[in-house]
Amino acid sequence: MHVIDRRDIVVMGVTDMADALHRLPGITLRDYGGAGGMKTVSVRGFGAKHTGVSYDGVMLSECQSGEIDLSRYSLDNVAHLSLTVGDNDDIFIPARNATTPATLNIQTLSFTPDDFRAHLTAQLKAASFGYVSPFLRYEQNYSNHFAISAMGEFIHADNNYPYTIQNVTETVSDHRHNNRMNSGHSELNFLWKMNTTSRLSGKLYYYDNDRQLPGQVRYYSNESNERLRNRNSFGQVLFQTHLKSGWSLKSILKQNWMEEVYLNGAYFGSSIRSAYWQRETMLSSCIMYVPTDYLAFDYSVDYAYNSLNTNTILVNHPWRHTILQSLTGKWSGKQLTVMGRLLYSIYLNGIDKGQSARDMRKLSPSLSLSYKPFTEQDLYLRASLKNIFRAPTFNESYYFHYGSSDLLAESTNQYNVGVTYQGHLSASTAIRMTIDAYYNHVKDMIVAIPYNMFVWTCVNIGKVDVWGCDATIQGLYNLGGGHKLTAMGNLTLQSVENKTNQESPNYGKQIAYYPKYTSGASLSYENPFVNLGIHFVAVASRWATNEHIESTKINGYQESGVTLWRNFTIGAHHFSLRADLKNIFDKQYEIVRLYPMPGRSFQVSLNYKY
Amino acid sequence: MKKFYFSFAVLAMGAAFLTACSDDEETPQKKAVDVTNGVAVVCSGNMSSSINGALTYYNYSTKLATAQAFRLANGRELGLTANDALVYGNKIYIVVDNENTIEVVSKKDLKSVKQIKLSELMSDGQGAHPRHIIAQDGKIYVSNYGTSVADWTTYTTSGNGSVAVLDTASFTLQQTYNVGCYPEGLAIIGDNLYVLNSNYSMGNASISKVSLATGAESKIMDENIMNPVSVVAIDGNLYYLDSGSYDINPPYGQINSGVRKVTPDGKVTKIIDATAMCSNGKDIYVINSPYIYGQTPASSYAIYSVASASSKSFVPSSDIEFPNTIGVDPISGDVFIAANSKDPDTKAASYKLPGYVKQFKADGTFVGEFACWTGPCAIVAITDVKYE
Repeated sequence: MHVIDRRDIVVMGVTDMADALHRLPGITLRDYGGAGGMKTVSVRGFGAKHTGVSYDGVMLSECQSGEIDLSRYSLDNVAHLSLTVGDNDDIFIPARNATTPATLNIQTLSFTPDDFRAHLTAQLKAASFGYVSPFLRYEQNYSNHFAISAMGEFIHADNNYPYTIQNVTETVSDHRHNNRMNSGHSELNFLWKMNTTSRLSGKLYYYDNDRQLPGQVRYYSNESNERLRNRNSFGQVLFQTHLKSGWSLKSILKQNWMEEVYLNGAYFGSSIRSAYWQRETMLSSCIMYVPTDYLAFDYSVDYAYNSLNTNTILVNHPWRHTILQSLTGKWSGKQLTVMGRLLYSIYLNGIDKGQSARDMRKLSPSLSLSYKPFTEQDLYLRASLKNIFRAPTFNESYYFHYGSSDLLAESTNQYNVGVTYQGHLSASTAIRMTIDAYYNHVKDMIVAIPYNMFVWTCVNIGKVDVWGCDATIQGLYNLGGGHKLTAMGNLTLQSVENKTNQESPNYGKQIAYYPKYTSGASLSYENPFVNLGIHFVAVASRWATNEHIESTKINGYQESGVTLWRNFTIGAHHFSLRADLKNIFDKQYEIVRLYPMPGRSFQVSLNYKY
Repeated sequence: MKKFYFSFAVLAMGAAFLTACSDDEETPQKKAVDVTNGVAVVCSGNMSSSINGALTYYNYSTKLATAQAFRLANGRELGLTANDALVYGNKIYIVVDNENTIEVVSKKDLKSVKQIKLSELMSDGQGAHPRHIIAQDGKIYVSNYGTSVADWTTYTTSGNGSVAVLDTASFTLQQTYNVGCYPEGLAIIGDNLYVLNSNYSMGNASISKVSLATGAESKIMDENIMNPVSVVAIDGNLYYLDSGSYDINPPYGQINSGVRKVTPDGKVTKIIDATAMCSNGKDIYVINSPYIYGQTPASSYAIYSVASASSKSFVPSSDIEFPNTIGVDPISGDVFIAANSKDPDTKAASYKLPGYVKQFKADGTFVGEFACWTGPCAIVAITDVKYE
């Protein structure tokens, strides 16, 4: 598991969610550019639909497209961000948290005060290309048992950044047009510590984003007239109790509503509006039994009801009942830790009109172990395997001419071996290293195939093999007198190969959009004056097509940034001032072909805490 | 939405025009002979896979094809979704849908003469998504979608499709004729311009009849006009290709696609089943290859003679698995059939891999094959006049 916490965000010079994801090993980011550009991640060669995202411990759902746009989540309210590949060490989790090969966990800021006065955080951030973002957070303990926090943030960005792209021998220079975004997000949280063993917490969440879509860059034209509005609200409550007898119970109830509205052709008021609404009701209970210090069991059961509505004729109100049960056992000895899990999934599909997708019932096993060969050294040898699948999304099952109700699940196997070492090389030097090697296999991959240019349909046809290696290193060197050096580095090598058909010329080719290597490094120098951080990310070239068609190669890139920050305190008032220079060498690059990324830009923020 | 477009009637007109106004430098004593130097294949590319369109050029004398000939000649790309081309005078006009451009190149060496940015010449969103092109009397006529937009909530369309008329000497906008939504192929008969309004295959399609003099428009509507895409005018009648519709029931095949005849008084009759067509100015060449879900299409070919109102089958002596475009050399009578390659992984037609073109004699004898770029969608013969 790889973690980026609040301190890392500052020390590594992380400026936004996309930047944070860039720093995690094994992640392939798809970024359509700028503050409003959609951002999705795939982990270790599994497609983005296989990446789960949990928000404060509860999985987010996207039943229509299956891909969660991470540009919706800003870092300002995040306490830490972590990436779990395979199974989590924590076994006391809802069954749905075990349904993906990899999960990105977003943990928001939690209650910190130990007094009863109101605490305020206010932040103002400004950046190039018309970006401005105010952020406000309030938290207070009303008693020893009850606390409330509330936050709100707003982002406006024009995103009309300049770019250049190469048109064979000509260089095209222009600005992104039709790329403005206004986005707001607010949350209300409560925590009720009912007694020493039980607590009830809850969250109300609202998000609203209205953005223009600039589309692909074209060489000779710059017209686009699409807009997208996303709204999401959910409420969730979580009850947790630990009994003396070793039994624990956790229950979650969540109600989620999502709206996506496309506005097309909004030239002269005659805009076309197509809207999609997703609803979810989710209930989860986990029962954990810890009979002794070294043994723990968990049984979790989830039920979810998802449905999709639209004002278009493209989908006919499909719904899905999901029942998930997981049984997990964990042995934590002095040197050996073993965890095994069986997940039983039931998907029951229905639709108002037409053929409903297949129902599915599947048993998915996983096993992981960690061995500590020397009791006095923090050296761990790890191995894990996991078999899991993803059910077809509503679009894949039902979308007009595209969906197919015959689809099978896309199944995946993952095998991982790794080493973790952490320790002190000297009194002032700490180090942590991980190396992982992995093999993943995806079969019955869902691929859209054409039966003419305009009519495509989904079939289970693809096979993909992934061989990869991730390495990370973190070092901390304390020079004394408030001077501290922190260095971090990560490297990923991965071959993500099409293994669909041995006779095909595409056999063995790297799948579109996966680089063969990515790396990143950061170095920071903290001192009593002005703290300084530098970082870089390097990503190798990629192809935009699985066939590696000549003109669809995307060049590799390096991006570097510098961060300066300073914290100071006046009485009970804490201030933090931070300035970032992004892409200092003004390197023009694309992550998604024909969606150029911004060049050199700045960002400044002032944070105030009381 | 289907887009199949061939402009061979126009090509024949172009050749006639050329004969009439031959180059001044040529010695007048020699006899003018119409010849074909090669064929150009317009390839759309694939926008969703960010593959640019291209013009493939096949040279008769060298027997060599250049898949990206425009790019090679000009050091730049055509851009996204090349859609149609026209040979007229000593120039070739290439229409590029998603770039809103008409690339004008020399017929001799494909070097750019002018890049017309159509949407910048027009206002109110017109000129966007140019689709098809014809020429007459020193003017080019370009259909374009403008602000045409499909509404998936009501299954209707709206917008300001039009035909732009440009002068071929100054490349300035002379006239705009407003037509229906998603206009595709166009043809001129006498004093009237006819434009196919495909309506994004959402039904209510029509053919606009526009007076060239006044711009007054009336619409021909008929139950047989479903999704009209390309058209030629022969002997005072329109012959257009209708892509039909999709069967809403399994196996969700393409139904009712074919060539229809439209008389000037608006009477529509079915002529022959087809999914692609072209013409040499007197006969209509068709491919009939309707797709069926999960199956390789069964393809047949025919030549319809307008004069005798009868058709005979054309049997190519070499197999073509996924044919989608047909062209004919009006001088030699050779038939060119362009096809998508087979995706080796899915076994379906690939819209990403480069396609290919097979050349046949008029009797179906296989002559040769060459590779084109991704998504061939129109074939034009590069005709010229030789003096001997």
